[in-house]
Amino acid sequence: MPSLPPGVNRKDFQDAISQFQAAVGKEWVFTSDEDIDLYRDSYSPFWNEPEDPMPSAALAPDGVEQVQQIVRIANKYRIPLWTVSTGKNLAYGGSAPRLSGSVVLDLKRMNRILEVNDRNHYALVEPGVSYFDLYRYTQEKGLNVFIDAPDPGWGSPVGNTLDRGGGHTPLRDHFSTLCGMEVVLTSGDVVRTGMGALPNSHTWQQYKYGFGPYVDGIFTQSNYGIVTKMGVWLYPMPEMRFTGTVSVPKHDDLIPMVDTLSYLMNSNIVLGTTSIASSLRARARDPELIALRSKPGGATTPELEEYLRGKNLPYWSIELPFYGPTEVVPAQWAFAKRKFSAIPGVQFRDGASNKLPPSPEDLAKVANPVPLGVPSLAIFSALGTNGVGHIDFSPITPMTGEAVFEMMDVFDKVSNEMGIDNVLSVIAGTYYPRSFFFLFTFPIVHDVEKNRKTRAAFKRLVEVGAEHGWGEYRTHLAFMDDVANAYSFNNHALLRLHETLKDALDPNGILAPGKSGIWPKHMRKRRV
Amino acid sequence: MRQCSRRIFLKCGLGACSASALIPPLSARPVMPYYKAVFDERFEDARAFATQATARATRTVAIRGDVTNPFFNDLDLRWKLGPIWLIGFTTSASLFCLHLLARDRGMRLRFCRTKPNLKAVLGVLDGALPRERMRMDLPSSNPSDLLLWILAPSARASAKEISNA
Repeated sequence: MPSLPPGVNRKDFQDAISQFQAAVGKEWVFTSDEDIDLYRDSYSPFWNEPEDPMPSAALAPDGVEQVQQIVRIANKYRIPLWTVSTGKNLAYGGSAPRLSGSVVLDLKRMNRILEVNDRNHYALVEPGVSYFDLYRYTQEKGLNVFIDAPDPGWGSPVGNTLDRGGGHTPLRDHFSTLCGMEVVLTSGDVVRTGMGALPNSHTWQQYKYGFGPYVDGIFTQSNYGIVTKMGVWLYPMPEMRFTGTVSVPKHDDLIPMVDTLSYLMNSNIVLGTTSIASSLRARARDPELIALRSKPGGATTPELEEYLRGKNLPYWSIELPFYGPTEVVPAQWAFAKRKFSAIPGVQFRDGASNKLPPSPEDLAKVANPVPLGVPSLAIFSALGTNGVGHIDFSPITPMTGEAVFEMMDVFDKVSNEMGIDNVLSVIAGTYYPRSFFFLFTFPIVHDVEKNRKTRAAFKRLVEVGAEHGWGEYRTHLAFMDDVANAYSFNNHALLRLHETLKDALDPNGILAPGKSGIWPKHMRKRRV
Repeated sequence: MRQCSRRIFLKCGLGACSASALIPPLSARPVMPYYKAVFDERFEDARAFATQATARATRTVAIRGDVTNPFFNDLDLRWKLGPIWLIGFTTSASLFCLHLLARDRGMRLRFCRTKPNLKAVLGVLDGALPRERMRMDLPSSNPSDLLLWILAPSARASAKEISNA
């Protein structure tokens, strides 16, 4: 039997369910164990523990009017709602709520593509539209737009943008592509932001800011409203994508290498996600390297450089992605090579060159087509089930070589201290402009003790990261309080502001209690 | 020996007798109304499973771990018409992806067994289903272990499905 929402008695809950059924139709209110099970987190770090969040019910409205009715009923009975779009936020909680007993508001039926404009390159979509849906629509209509999908294409542009996810191509910072939203507030009022507030406007998806305070950001990673429509900018279909690899031989070469990368990215010459590859990390299991590192005093940097030189391997390398016209991309690569040539011993290698949109033959040759603007499940198909799932610690650091050294040094110390295996899967990724993103991927298994150890290690990394000024960009439900508490400047002034907004916009605290560490007033004692 | 007898095949297991030419068709018609049989062609046992499915007139679709192509080019379109019976012999990761997608279309994991022997495979292909319904937890298994599974319309799938709304 699913748990009741906290503080709600069974009679009120049943009354609320009856009213939800009247609002959305009986068949779209889910209360059976079989149905509720589907909203649990497949990658839960609380597998088989009482803390594993379990919803009490789920609702699937098909339009904004039904969402309005739902929030009014939820307010009447103080029912906490947890909104999901396609519900595929794996590694961050899936479709499970932060608070057990919440009713999941499943927006998959709101899956209308309202407009895709390939003259000004944008889309207006509902939350249940997936990247696959949007891609199919653009293909069927032959539209001249290029989609930036996150690694799994089953997510939604609305959901991923609201969680400030990232992709691989020029528009990889998804929040930066947001242009206008429609939001249902807990009062049942419907707000359109930006130019959407101007009746008869034709620029809702073209000019972000409208007039007055710009509020779109407060509806991301938050629990202040339910987004029912969103505009997202798309990229005009580029003519080609090309990658070129830059390799440097010495440890300290990383500093000028990153400075040059920063220059090229901030100049909009390198336009896509890349990350730094370390030959030492790649060869961590080589017995020769293990022996070198195990000698008294450990290996010195010159010894490691010599080891790599003997293997004809660089110390560091970066694969640079370029998107654009066929005349321009080679010139950009030539310019990049000129800039990197200031580093002694630098080497260059041409990589893949793909005409866009890719032909079926080209697609068949690539392991992951996402950087070519084609949504895919390739990466998740190679990962594990909920028996071998994962959660990710993903701090943001400065875009400097020194920051990379510091991060890797600190992480190695914490790993040794906590007995963590090598879980560093992305070194200095460029998913977001002007900063680096690291990804530490922890496996989730069907073993309570191992998961407890993982949670402890994760929390330790949050603490250590905060000591060094590294905060997570997004986190799993289980760590939202920890991460929110790390952003503690001036006695948690930002969290107090978030709570002030929460109290004003959602006085009964019905929307996503605990999302991003923001609890309604009557639940704040829950905060870690 | 050109053909492998059913008895020898059962005794030897899937891998011992997997070439399609060696397996006689057992029936001209599908026993269960499977829309497709999904198999991971990287594995000999899965290829043998596909041969058996074909012998029962069930159309097969080959993958190599990634389920994107069958999902995007086939299943996603078919699911818009309603839930279906789907059988597969794949890794757990491939099943995980298909299961997550299928359940949004009114389907549930009806059966799942890790590293089944041939008797179990043939039994399932011939229509022997366990009575118990699976919950959402897929078995925790080695990522390279093969699973025999069935996705089927949910109990409430005869009503409207989300995708058809």
